[in-house]
Amino acid sequence: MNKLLRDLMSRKTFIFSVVVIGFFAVLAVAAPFLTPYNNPYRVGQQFVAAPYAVPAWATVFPQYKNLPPDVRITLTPSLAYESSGEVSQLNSSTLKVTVPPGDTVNVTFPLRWNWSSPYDVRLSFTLVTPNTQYFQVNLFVRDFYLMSLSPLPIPPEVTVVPGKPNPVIFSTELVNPGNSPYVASLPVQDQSLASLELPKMLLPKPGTYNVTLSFVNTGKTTEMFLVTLPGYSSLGYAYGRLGTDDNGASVFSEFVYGARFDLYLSLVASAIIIGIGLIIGLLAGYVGGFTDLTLNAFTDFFLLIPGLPLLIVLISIFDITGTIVNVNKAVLILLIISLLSWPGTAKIIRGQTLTLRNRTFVEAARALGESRMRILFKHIVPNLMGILFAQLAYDVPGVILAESGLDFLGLGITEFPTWGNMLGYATNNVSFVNGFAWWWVLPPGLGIVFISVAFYYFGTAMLDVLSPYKLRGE
Amino acid sequence: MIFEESTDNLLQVNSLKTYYKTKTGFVKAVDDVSLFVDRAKVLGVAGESGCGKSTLVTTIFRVTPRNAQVMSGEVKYKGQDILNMDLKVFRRDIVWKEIAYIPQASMDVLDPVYKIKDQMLETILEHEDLSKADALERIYKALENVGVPAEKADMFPHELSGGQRQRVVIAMALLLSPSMIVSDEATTALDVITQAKILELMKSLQENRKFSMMFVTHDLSLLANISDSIAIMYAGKLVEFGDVEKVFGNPLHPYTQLLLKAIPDLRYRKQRRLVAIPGFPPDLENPPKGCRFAPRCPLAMPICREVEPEFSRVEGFHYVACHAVNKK
Amino acid sequence: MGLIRYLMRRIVERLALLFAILVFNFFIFQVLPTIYGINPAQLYVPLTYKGLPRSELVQALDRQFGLNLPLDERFFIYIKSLLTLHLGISMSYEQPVITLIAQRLPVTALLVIPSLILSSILAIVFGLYSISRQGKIGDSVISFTAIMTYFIPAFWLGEIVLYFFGFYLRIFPTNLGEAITTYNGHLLTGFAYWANLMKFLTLPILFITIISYGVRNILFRNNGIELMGSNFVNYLRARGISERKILYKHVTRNAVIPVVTRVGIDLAFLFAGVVFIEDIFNIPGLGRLLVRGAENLDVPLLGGDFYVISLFAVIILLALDLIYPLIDPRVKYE
Repeated sequence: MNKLLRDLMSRKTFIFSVVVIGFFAVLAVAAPFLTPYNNPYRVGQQFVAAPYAVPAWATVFPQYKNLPPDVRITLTPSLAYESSGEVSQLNSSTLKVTVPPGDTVNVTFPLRWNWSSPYDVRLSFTLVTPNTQYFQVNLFVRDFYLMSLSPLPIPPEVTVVPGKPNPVIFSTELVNPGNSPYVASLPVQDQSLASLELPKMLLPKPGTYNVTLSFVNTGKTTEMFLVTLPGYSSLGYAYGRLGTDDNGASVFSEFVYGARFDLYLSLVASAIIIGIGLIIGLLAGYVGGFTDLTLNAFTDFFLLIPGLPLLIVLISIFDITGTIVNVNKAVLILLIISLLSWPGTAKIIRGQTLTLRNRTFVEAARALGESRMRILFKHIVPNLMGILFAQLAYDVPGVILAESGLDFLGLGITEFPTWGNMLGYATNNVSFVNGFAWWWVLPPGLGIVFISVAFYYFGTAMLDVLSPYKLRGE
Repeated sequence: MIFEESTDNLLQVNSLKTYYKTKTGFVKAVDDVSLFVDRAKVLGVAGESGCGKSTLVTTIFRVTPRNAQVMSGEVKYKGQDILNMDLKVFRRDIVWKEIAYIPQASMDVLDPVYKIKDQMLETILEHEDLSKADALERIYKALENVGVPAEKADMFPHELSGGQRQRVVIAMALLLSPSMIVSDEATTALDVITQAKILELMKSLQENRKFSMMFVTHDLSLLANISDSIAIMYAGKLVEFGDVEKVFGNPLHPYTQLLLKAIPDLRYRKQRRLVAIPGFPPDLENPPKGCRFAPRCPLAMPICREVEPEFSRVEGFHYVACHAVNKK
Repeated sequence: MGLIRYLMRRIVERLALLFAILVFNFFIFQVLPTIYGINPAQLYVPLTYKGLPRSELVQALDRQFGLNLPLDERFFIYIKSLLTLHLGISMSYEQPVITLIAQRLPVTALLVIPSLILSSILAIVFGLYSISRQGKIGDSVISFTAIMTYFIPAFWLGEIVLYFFGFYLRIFPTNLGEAITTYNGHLLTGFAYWANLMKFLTLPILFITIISYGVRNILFRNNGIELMGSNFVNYLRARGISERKILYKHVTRNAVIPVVTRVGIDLAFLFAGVVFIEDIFNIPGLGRLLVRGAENLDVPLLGGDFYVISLFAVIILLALDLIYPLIDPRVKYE
């Protein structure tokens, strides 16, 4: 046993395979701890950053240097107001603004911005207004008149309830001529583009920008406003370990959960393939005669069917009928792939059984009158272990590739991430317009290649080490 | 090691060590072996499978597997060191013209996709400038000499029977009339009758043409008739080497004794029980300390497990490596 | 005579196999939907179709394509149509299936045959290099690359290659229509047509070459390396035959046998194997026809396409049976 291990560890390719498989196994098992998003294809888990955000670490490259991350900060007023009587701190998060009749008080919150413009800009605060009809609160970023709050419902002004706390949210995503004076002032043809263009205009480049709340009292008495410190947040163009896809969902989460699914499916499918292959191969090889002839013809038949197109057709048919039979799609794919992939394995096991059957030790066992079952399980199956392990490993890449192919074509799983549908969505978005989102396109493909190569090497090492008679399989 | 008994040696092997490098160490397949073959004489080399006989042969022909290394020692042919000779020169001038090789003619000993004729032709033309017609004539003659009809030359290797294939391989060895032939298990896979015929053929060829021969086999009984001297190998070591009468008449090493007892003798079928040597040959990667045969030896003494016995002369042309013998 | 008997036996065997596949196809395309109560015609009529009542249209389609007949009757019609090559009319293209296939077959052939030859040559050349430098760095690099290309998802690398060479560097045309028409929309003729068509096909051909190169290279290399340690090579060396001759004459000749088998099998499944590539590179070949057929559950088209693919596979396998004894003298016409 020790010698076996030493032999294995002296193979560079085996070390490579163990490291790669181990890496992906850890990813798969630890997925829930690695990422909060278990299904980034669900709408609720999208837009965790801007679409096509690059990985955070990619900002070390010059072309991504200035891309902003997701930002979430609470703004504080500039120090000048500390002494003035009009603005005072009620508590750590709330300001009290006292406005004399007919007067306007501006509170400025400087925003320190270190990056190029973000995907969107969101500002939120809670406002308690005086219990009158004669006031207005305006929100500016730089000189842009973004929002106007008043008790009167006159667009583009936004209504607030006097004397009560009003949660106020400004978001460039949600602006329209009905809620933003700036947008309303634009020519009609530009109004619909405002939510795209505004972030670039508000925060064009690194610098300090002023967010200003201006409190206007049109009444005849001095009035008091309460306002919480505004929260600023924006989605950035640099996010997480692997950036985001076209929906702003975390590619890392997709990758990790894709690995989880792919590994699980391929291992189960390989086990089924080995099961079928072992039964058919053993029967054909050991029983021989007519059984062998029939089973061999059966295997040839399955081998000759064009597998991939048939897979596509079968999945299409079952997809349409799926509502009737009501089976889980993943299970369906698993079964179809398994049922179409066993012939190669069966042939190899049959060939191996045939040679084992004529070995002296099996003939001796037969001469001693041992039962068929006993010979099969005492002498033949243990000697097939190397081949079985190797086949298990060799079948994994095949299953992953077949399943990914289906997903890629959009015929397979679409509801949750797999490496296959990641590739499909990613490559569909590779175009002149969207450019080449390498952080999205490359990981699933490289994942497939590396795990396949790793399993291949693993299988080869197993075959070399475990088979009692040196048999190199292809 | 210098053997005084060698009067006119053709091939001499001096303290040869050929090891196989594995992932975990070295397999000492041939460990300090010295022997010689005289002109027109036959040396029989015997030992169990895995004792290093074949490695010895492949080392002489410089066709060892990639992981084999000659650690020390030399092989001299007519005084020339053939292990350190330029490989091209060795293959052109020594191989086949001087020393030819008769392997065991298993299924795959000849290239399966070329005809017998073409493979023999290739062998001749590689070494000699000869017209194709002359070469073919020589091939047909060589085949007839070993009792294979000339028309078989147009067949593929798999179309011949085992015996015929063995004869073809013998004819192949004689194509360039070498002075020495090394035969490695040439009769092993054949049935007893064919085996006897092939052996007879080789013996008569040797007597007529007067070439030297190194006859390697695991079957000691074959050597009595054919050889002039005998070398017994065990686990990579030479354990006994000497004149054929001496080794057969007075086997000294316990291993040789047991080997001889393992030969069934028809005359004493009833009286004598066939003796099998208990145990297995050692792992050559970690051979036992001391004498390698000690764990299986019925006469083993404490010293056998500690000190490696020296290979030394007993009397006349008879060498042995055994503490029990050396003590006497 | 042995040859004729051998031939007859092989033909009968292969035809039996073909028949089995056809029965299987019938089961998949006709029986299975019937069991599940799906009417392909129903799928074919668009849900948004306005005009005649839906059920009337479906019935008309049923009549037209014979989808409402009992299964046994349909089976005979199916087999008859295959034998006479009247493969019916495609529901989605509204053209005879045989015409569609005849149009697309040359395109796929033009795509696959050059890459088949190219990748085989590459596999053997690099394989020989690997064998002669077994265990050295060059061999390791070549083998690792070969194994990588074997496992690269074709559809993925295809998109990347297409993007970089087609869109980014603009070396190759990416649209077949644009490639073979003049700027004012007329189809090119003569030499210009073929030159531009080949220019368009260069990228996919190179791509298929890379994708299919790996298996053959590994097969050739592993076989060659095994042969280099085999008894007969050892015996050749012992006979003083030069390493060059051993490698280029004996080992190559022997190691090429499994590669030929592999190429034969690849050739047999040639049309089935390029589904993804045609999909990615937008090539109107048989593979894409198959995908369209599957998406629309176009029963006549699918049946015809599968028939042609299987028939072709059977013919190639038969040809392989015939030429195999020529490559490997151990195999006999028996």
